[in-house]
Amino acid sequence: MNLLAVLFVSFLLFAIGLAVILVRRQLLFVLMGIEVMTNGAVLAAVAAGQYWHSADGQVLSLFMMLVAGSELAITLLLAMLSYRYLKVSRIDQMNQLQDKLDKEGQLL
Amino acid sequence: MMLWHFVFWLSCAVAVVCSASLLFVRKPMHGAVYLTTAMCALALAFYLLGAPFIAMMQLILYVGAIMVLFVFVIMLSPLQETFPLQLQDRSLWPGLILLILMLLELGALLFGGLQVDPTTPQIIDSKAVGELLFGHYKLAVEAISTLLLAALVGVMYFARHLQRHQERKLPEQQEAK
Amino acid sequence: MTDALVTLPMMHHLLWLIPCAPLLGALLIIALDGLPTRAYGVIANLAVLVSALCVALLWLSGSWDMPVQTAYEWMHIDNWLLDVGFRVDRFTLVMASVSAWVGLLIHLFSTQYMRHDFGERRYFAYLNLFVGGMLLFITADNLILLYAGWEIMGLCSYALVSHYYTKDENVYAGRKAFVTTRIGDTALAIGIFLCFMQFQSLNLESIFQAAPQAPTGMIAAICILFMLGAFAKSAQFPLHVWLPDAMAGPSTVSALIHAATMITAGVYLIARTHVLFDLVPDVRWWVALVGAFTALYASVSAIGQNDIKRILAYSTISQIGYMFAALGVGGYSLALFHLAVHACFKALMFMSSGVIIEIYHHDHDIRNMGGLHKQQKFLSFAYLAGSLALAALPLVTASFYSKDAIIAATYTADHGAFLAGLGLLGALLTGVYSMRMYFMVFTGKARSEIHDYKMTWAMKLPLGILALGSLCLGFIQLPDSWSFGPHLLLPWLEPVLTSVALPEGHAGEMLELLGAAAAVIGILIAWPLTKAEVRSGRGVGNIGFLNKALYIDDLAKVLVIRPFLALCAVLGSVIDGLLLNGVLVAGVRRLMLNAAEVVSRGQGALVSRYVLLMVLGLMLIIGYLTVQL
Repeated sequence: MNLLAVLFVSFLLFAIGLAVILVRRQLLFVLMGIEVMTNGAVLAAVAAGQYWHSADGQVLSLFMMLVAGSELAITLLLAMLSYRYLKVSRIDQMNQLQDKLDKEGQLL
Repeated sequence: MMLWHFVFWLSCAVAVVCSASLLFVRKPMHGAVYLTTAMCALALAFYLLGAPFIAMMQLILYVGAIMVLFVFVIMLSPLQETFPLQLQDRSLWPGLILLILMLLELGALLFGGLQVDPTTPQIIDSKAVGELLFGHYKLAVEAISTLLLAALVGVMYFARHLQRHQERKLPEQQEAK
Repeated sequence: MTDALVTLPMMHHLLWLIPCAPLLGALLIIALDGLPTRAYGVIANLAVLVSALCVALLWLSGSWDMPVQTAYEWMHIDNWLLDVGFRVDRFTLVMASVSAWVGLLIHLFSTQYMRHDFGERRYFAYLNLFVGGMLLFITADNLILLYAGWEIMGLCSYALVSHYYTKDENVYAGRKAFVTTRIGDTALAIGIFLCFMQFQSLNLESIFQAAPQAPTGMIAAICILFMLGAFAKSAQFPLHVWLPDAMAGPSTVSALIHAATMITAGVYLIARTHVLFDLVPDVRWWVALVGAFTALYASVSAIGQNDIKRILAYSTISQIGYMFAALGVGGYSLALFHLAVHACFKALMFMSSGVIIEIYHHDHDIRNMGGLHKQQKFLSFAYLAGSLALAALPLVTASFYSKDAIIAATYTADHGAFLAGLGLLGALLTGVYSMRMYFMVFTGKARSEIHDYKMTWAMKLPLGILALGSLCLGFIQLPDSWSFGPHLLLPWLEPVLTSVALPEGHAGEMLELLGAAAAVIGILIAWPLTKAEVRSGRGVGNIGFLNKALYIDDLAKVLVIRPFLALCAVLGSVIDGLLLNGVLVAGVRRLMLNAAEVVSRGQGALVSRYVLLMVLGLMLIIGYLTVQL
């Protein structure tokens, strides 16, 4: 097993996840992109654990999965709420809390 | 060993291709299916990398729990508009260019000067993982369990919010009828 | 001398009172609100009286050889120390006496003169501050304190000249006085900086001790700057233009400015720093030249004036010119002598002129006066004493002894004949204009209505004392060539101000005779001149060239003020309007707005943009790692 090749695959997954976030800009797809990125990171952790013949990599992977799970549980619910209340699905439209300024620098 | 290589790289390729297809699919449900496929492929890869416990966890946690959540949300959400990759959209270019640059850099970083000895994968069983988890990492386990509890409370809170909203909406609809 | 030794320590601790009493008086007048107006006059008088008594006490105790008092330590930077210190030597003592006592008399006179006038309280506050500033200037033992006094006087002159600020031209006159003297202030300030640069000290005594070792060029530069400062403050030739206009203030203010304080400050400054001037005789000679020329120029101008106060103003410029001539040839004690005499008769004449103007219902024009002698005997005699003293009538007036000695002393300098000639010509003309003024006002028939004016003792007493002074002050120092009579002042001042070189033998006697003759001839010319003027209604006052003082003022307007205003307009539109307002202020504002917009766009509440920036950062980090490996 070549560690560098596996690492490259994991980076590739990470980059694909990032690309999904950048391109799709839709709440559900952004969350999916985040999952892909997390999976890439998990792959890297497992491969590194195998390289050193240590169980630490697997423990780290487990933690990552758990964190991703709890994060998703909340964010998915929030996504649903935003669909319901704000009627938006693109993340760029979720900027209701920003201040808008006019040309003279006054708050609108 | 030959077989190992074949199956491992094949599963990696499946994971990468399925992930990449997320860029192009039109419907969220299709995306969820592709993502599930990618996760199953990754579970196979984990197994081949000598981590059967993590492979099982991948299946149980990701495929069994998270993806199910996804599917539920997709089914419950009313919005269907999607924005697949369109290269004509110029606002996407800077991000994609940056990503490609980053990958090139990564390639240069990984295959430029680093020398790593190839190893043969060995099974690291769940016993070793468990010993480490509840020995050395017991504090982290506590922290993670607290996080899970917090997530649970949060979800319950938001869910109640959702519920109340629906209850408030129902009488209005009845009156309208 | 024994009792002098007893009182010396006491006086040593009272030096601070000399300048501080009037300053405190001013402070009291400002601070105490709601008193009856008369009370402010009383406070002012008492404050100056304290100073005057302190000075008198110094005389009585005989402590005139350098008592120094350090009131407190003002600044202490590293090993450089600046004290608030006062010192008195013989020269300072004479000067302080003149300022304090003449100032006191003017204060006393003001109590009646300014009663029911306009802004009495403000007037007395500034009057006190003025005297305090002058005394601070005189008694200071370092240049910073001296400069402080100098600037206080500048401020007070501005405030008092524009005392009747409801009229535009009075305010203009005050501004003119302030701005013109400011030229000199700046020069003096730079001179003080140079002093500090050269000597690392501002204490007068240490500067004087270190001066002989200093490079001549530096000393010359310092002297020229001090000279410019003195010229502006004392209204010498090119910078005299402010003084005739400064007549806009009350007459008592003119008396104070001309006799006791501001104008004499320039003379005092040069005499004070005479150690430096002695090192560069070439620079000092220019002081003499400017002084002698001013003496002549101002007396020529004075002949053509019809305004009684303008005549007096030009006469002051002329008399101060004589003092500068004396300073320029090293006759410091002569300058001081003439200063004291001049203080007496000029204060007398200005205060009298104030009364005269009141009597003629605020008309300044001497052509509309006349015949006052019969109504105001006392005033007439007092004014006659002053006029004769100004004209320097031989033997009986003090000015004869002081002024002619100056003319004689100028003869000993380089090109002495030229300087003395200027002085003599000026003396002749002085006789003319001084007596013309007297004759026009007091003799003949009244050419306009004379109002009743009753002078109280508070007015008569100062006038009487000053008249006596203008006649008799000269007897303390008869000419050196006279073997008889007292020679008190010059030898007494010699340890401080060095001795005066006077021409030997026939030249000296000739000059004395010439000086006396010039004064007498001038007085004799004045009588027919006045008669002719009264009869025909046209006289020297109608000659525009003389009346406008050789058009110097107008020349200054064309040469200095107009280009300056044009420059101001250009700077205002280009620098201020375009560069500062347009580019700097508005530009910075626009820059900030645009920058803020760029930043807020970058923030923009757009998640995808955050992600983009994150990717950029990630790329940079990985790039850094790649390069590192």
